[in-house]
Amino acid sequence: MAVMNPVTQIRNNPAGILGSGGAVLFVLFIGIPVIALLIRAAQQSNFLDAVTGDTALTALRLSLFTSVISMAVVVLLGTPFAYLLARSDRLWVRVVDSLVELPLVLPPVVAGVAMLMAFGRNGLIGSGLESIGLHISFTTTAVVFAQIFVASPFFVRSAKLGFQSVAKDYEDVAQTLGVSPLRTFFRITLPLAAPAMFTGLGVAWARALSEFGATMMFAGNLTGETQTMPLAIMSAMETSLDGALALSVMLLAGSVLLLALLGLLTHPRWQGR
Amino acid sequence: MPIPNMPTLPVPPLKQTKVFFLPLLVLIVSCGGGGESLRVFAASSLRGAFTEVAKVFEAENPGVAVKLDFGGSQRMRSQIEFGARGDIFASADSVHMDALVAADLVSGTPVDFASNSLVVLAMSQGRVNAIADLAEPGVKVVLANSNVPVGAYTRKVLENLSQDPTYGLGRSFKDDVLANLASGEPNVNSAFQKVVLGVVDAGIVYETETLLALEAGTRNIHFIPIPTAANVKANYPIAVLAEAAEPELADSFVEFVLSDRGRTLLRRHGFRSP
Amino acid sequence: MMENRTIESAAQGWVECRVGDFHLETHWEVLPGEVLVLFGPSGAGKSTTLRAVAGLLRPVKGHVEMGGKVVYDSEGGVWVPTHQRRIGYLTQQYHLFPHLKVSANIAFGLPDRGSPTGRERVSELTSLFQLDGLGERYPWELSGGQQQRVALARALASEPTMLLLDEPFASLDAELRRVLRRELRAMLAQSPVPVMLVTHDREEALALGDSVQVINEGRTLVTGDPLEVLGQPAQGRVARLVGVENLFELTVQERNPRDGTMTCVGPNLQLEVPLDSHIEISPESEDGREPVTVGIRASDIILAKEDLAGSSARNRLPGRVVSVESRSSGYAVTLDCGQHFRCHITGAALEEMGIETGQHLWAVFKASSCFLVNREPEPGSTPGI
Repeated sequence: MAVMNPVTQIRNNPAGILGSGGAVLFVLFIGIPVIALLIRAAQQSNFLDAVTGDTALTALRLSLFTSVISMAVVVLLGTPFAYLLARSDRLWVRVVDSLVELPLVLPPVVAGVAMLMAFGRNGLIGSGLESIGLHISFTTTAVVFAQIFVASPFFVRSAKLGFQSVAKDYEDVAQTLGVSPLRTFFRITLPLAAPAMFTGLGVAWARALSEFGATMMFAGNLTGETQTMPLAIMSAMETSLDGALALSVMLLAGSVLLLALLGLLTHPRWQGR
Repeated sequence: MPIPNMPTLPVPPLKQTKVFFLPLLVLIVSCGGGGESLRVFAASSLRGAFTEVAKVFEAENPGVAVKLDFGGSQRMRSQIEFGARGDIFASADSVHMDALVAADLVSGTPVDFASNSLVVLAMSQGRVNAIADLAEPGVKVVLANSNVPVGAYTRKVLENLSQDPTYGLGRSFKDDVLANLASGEPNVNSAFQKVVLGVVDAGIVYETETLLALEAGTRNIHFIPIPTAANVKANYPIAVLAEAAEPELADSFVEFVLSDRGRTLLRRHGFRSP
Repeated sequence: MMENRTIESAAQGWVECRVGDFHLETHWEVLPGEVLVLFGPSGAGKSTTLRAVAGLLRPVKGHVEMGGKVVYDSEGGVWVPTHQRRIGYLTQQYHLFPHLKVSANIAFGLPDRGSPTGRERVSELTSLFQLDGLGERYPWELSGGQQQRVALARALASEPTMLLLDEPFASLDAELRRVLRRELRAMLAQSPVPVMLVTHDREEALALGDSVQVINEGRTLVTGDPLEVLGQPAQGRVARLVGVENLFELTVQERNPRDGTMTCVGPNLQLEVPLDSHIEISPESEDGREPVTVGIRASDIILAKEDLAGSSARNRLPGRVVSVESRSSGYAVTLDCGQHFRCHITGAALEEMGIETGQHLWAVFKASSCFLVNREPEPGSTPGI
C-alpha cells in the first residue's frame, strides 16, 4: 500500500499526525517527571518513616482541614453567587462577573502580598481587626483565606456554566406546576447543574491543596499552624531530599485520589438529554 | 422570540449562611494560641541544635510543646513584622534583631548566645578543592542572598580574602566568585542542599553545617576551611518577642539556652560561645 | 346555577406587556371547556401572552382572572406569583425533567406525591394517558408522542384551573399530530377547563379551536369563529397571515342583486364575486368605481383541460401553466389567466392530467369561493404565501 506523504496526510486529517504527535509529547513531558519522582522516592529506604513522621502527618492534617473549610465556604457562598451570575442581566452583576476571573490571572504570590496589605498586622483592615483582638495573618485562618482567594474562581465559573446549561424553561415549568422558586432551585436547577458543580469543586479543591505562593506570603510557614503539604515539601527540600520526595508522593497520591473520587461523582446518571 | 422579563430570583440561602458562618470564622480566627506551647522562630542554621534543645526543654517541662520554625533570619523577621505571632526569636545576626527592636516587637534586650563562622562546602572529586578554585571561570557557586545573615557574612569574608594579599587570591577575587554565582538562596539550608544534590560545584555555608552533614551521613562532599583571620565571627542573639503569648515560659526557655546545659548542647552542634 | 359555575371558572383578562422594544396588548375571554387559539406568525406575541397569563413575565398593566380568582390586577396591586396560580403549562419542547423518571415527572407538582393518594393519582393519570408500563423510564427513553403525553399528564395532575399550551404539537410529525389532536380534543371535552392554545398551524387552529384570535406584531387583529377568521378572513392583514394565496385588487363594474353577485374587473381579469354590503365602500375611487380586494383560496380552484361551460361555476378562466411546485401534500400550479392564479391539486390529479408548464388549462371556481377583503395599504407586501 502506498504511504501518503505527510503533508497530504495532515491536510486530510489535521487531528491525525499532529494530534498524535502532540499527545505523545504531552504524555512524555508530564509523565517523565512524575515517573522520575516515583522512582526516586521508591529508592529510599526510609520512605515509610518519612510518610508517617510527625511533620508529614501534621502537614497532611492541616492541608485537609483547611481545604475542607475553604471548600465549604466556596460552595456555600459560591453557589447562590454563581446562580445570580447565570441568571441575572443587570449591569452590576455583569461587572462582578468579569471580576470573578481576576484571581486566576493574579500570580498567587501577588495575591499573598495583597492579602498581607489588607489583613496583615498593619493592613488596611488588619490594623482595625488587631485592635479588637482578631489576628488573621500567619494563622490557620490565613491559610483558608489564601485557598479561598485562589480556588473560588474555579468553582464559581464552573457552577455558573452549570446553571446556565439548565434552561430557564425548566424552572418556569416547575413553577407552573405549583413549586415555589426556592424549592424549584433545589429540586430541578441544582440536580441538573450538579455535574458541572462537582467538576468545579474538584478543580478548586486540587488548587486549594496545591496552593503555595499566597499561603507562604500571607500565612507563613509555621509548623502545625500554617505549614500545609506544599510548604512542608519546600521546607523538606531545604534539609533533606528524601523527606521532600516522600511528602511529594503523598501529595501526588492524595490529589489523584481526590480527582478520581470527584470524577466518579460527576458521572451523569441521565445521558442523551 | 422576544425575551420576556425575568421573574424574581429564588431567594438564595445567603442570609442564613452568613449568619451561620460568622461565628465559625471568628472561632477559627481567634483560635491561635492557647495551651502550654511556645513558638520559636530560629535561623536555619540552628535547626539541629535547637531541635535538641527543644526536646530537652520539653522533657524538663512536661506539658509544654515547643514549636520550632526555621528559616532565613530575614524571613523570620519579616514574618514577625507582618504579624506572625511567636514567643522567641533567635537570629543569625544582629541586623534583623535590631530591626525588630526598633519596631518595638522585642521585649527586653536581646542576648548573644552562640557564635559561628563560615566554611567552603564543595563536592568531592569536583572542580573546587581550594578556595582559589571558587573564582575559576566555569565553576558554579551557590551563596545565600545578601539579606540573609550567612550571605552578608559571606560577602564580608570574600572582601577580606580579596583585600589581603597574603592569601594570594587577587583583588578581583570577590567579584570573580560573585560572577560564578549560579543561584542565590534564601537560607543556608537551601544553599547546602544545592551542593549536596550536585546542582552546583561549591557553596559557602556555616561551619555548623559540617556536623549536620556528618550526622546525616552525607557523602560526596568535603569542607575547605577559611583562614581564621579572614573569617567572620557570627554572633547569634536571642530574645523574647513583645507579643509572646507565654512570656514567662519564653523567659525560662531563653534562660535554658543561656544556661550551662544549653551551651553544652550548642557546643555539641558546633557552635562556639558568643 | 350553570351560568354561575361558568362565570366562576372562566378565564379572562387583558394585558399590556413590554419586552425590550416589543410592545404587546391583548385581551381574552375563555369559558371552561373552551379552547381559545392564539394564531399568528413567529414573534407576534402569542407565547408572550401565554407567559403573561402564567405569571412568568410581569406586564406593564392589566388584569388576569382564572378559576374565579384575580391573579393579577395592576390597578389594585394584585400579583399572585406563578407557583400559586393553578395553571397547567405545556411548552413546545415539553421540558420533562431529565433527571426524574416518568412517574416522578407526573407527580412533580403534587404536594402529597409520597402518600398513597398521591401515588394513586399518578397511576390514574398514567393509565388515562396510555403511559402504562412507562412509569420507571426516563424522558429520554420515550418517543415524541409519549413525551407529549407525559407533559400533559404532568400539567393536569394538580387539577389546574386553566390550561396553557404553547405549540404543543410543533415538534411532532403530521400523523402523530393528528392523532394527538384528536386525543386532546377528547380529553378537553371531559374536563371543563378553559384552554389557551398557541399555534401557527392553520389546520391545528381549525381542528382544536372553539374560537380563534389572530395576533400580529403585538396586537389582536380579530377574534371569532375559526372558519370565519381563518377560512375567509375579511381583513387584508389577516388574509395575508393565514395564507390566502390569491388576492386581487379589482374594481366593481356591476352589481347583480338578483344573483347576489357582483362583477369585478382588473387588468386582464374579470371575476364574479358575492355581493357583500358589509365591505366598507371607499368614497374615493378611480373613474367612479369602487375598489375591492378579492381573495380566493388556492384549494378552491379546479383545473380543467376544457372549458366546463355546462357547470354552475361562474368563473371559468383560460390560462397557461407558468410553473408547477411540489408542496407538503400535493402540488401548486401557477396559471396565468391574465393575472397569476395559484391552484392546489393532488399528486394523482397532476399525473392523470399530465400537467406541465406551457400547457393550456382552465381555472374554474364558484363565485362563492371568492370573498372580499378590506382593502388595507400594505407597504411592500405581496399577496399569498
